[in-house]
Amino acid sequence: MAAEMAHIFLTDAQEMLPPASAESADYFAVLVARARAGDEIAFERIMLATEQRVVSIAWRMLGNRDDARDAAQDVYLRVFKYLARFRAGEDFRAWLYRITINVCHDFARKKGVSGPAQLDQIDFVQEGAALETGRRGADPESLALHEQQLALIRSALQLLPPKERAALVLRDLEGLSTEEVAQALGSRPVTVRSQVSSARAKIKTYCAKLARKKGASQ
Amino acid sequence: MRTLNCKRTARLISLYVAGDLVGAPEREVAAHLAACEGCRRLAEEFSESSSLLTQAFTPPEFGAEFYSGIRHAVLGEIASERMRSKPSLFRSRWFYATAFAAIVIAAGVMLQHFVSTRREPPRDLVRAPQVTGQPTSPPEVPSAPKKHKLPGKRSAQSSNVLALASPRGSYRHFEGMRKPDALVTSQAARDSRAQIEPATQSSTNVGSVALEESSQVSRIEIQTADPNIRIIWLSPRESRDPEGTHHDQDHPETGNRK
Repeated sequence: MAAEMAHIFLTDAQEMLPPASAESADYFAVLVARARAGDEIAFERIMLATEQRVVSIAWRMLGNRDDARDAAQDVYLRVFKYLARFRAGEDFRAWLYRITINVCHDFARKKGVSGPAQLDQIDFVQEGAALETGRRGADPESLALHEQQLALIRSALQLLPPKERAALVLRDLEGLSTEEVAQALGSRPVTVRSQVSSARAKIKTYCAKLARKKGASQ
Repeated sequence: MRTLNCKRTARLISLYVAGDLVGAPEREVAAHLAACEGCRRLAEEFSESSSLLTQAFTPPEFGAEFYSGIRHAVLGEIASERMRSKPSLFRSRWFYATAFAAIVIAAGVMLQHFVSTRREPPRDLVRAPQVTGQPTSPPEVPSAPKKHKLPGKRSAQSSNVLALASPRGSYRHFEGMRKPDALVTSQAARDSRAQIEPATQSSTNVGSVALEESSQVSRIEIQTADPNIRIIWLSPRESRDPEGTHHDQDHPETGNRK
């Protein structure tokens, strides 16, 4: 009986909400207003609409699955806690990404992830790289070498300063525009361009060193 | 169109590769790359590192359970947080403030009641004035305050009675007086009363003091805080009967009928 009532209530609540496919500013504005009023279903809808991006950012910033899950939980708890501070008219997703980046910085600071001593502890999943090398039809030796190269690039990202790392993740890996990144990080687009340019140059230099080592070993 | 040198192009080339340049800067970099082999190689390196970066950070499939686990954990934490922050009677500051105020008021009332009961003497111990009818001859009042001591054992009742006699008829309050030499036995008090009580005319009660006045003697009985101790003050007055013909022959208490 209670389950049926909950289902009816959930159905009614979903019908009153804008379509989830829109994911526009109005969509989030309605959800945020309802979540502020204590509507947990609206808050769950916010999570459903944004959780993949939040987990992806957290995974890219922190480097492992467990930390990404814990960070995502912390992100949504912070969002719920500070939902009253969210100003109407502001971009909710930029606000959410800013919270995500801040939570990831806090996690990295607590765990001491950033720094050369913890580079070997980074535990990225290799599905994407393995798929890419499999397509190339490379032999196992070149596959292992490519894996090692990707692992070193991941390590290189962890060596970047936190602001440059956040800008590079949001701009190059998450595909946000420079303006969106600037909004999420609370800085100007010029600053973001500078940070992203600097980060790319460092990664490129690191990759060039790897390529030289690779050529020397062969 | 302005021609860029290699140094300036190197600064813009990462932005050009990622598509961040628009308008004139984009065209200028493109023109320089078409003419400069070294800068073109640099652009290829940027492009390759960007590709490697994208490969390295391709996120895995986390699965529906992973995301639902996050949602359930968050919603569960929110629900428990709401339960914790739910206002309760015992979490209200007003509850404790009201309880404290009630305790203080109750303590004050009890203290006041206790003090008042300690100060107020038992009413049954305040003697009523004794009226003994017609004034008779003046009693045999000692000319000076005299201390009487009863020889032998003193009873428990009599040991707490004080009897004082003063040559003057002034009123004094002896409550709380504890001088040993002022103590007399009940027998002495009875003796004094046997001599004095026939001459009573009027009496006045002042709190715990019973004042009896006659033509010959003033008798003041003072009830102390201790209900077992009573102070009797006998004060002779000037005799209205100079001949002294009246005597206490008919005193009902003493029974000294003649």
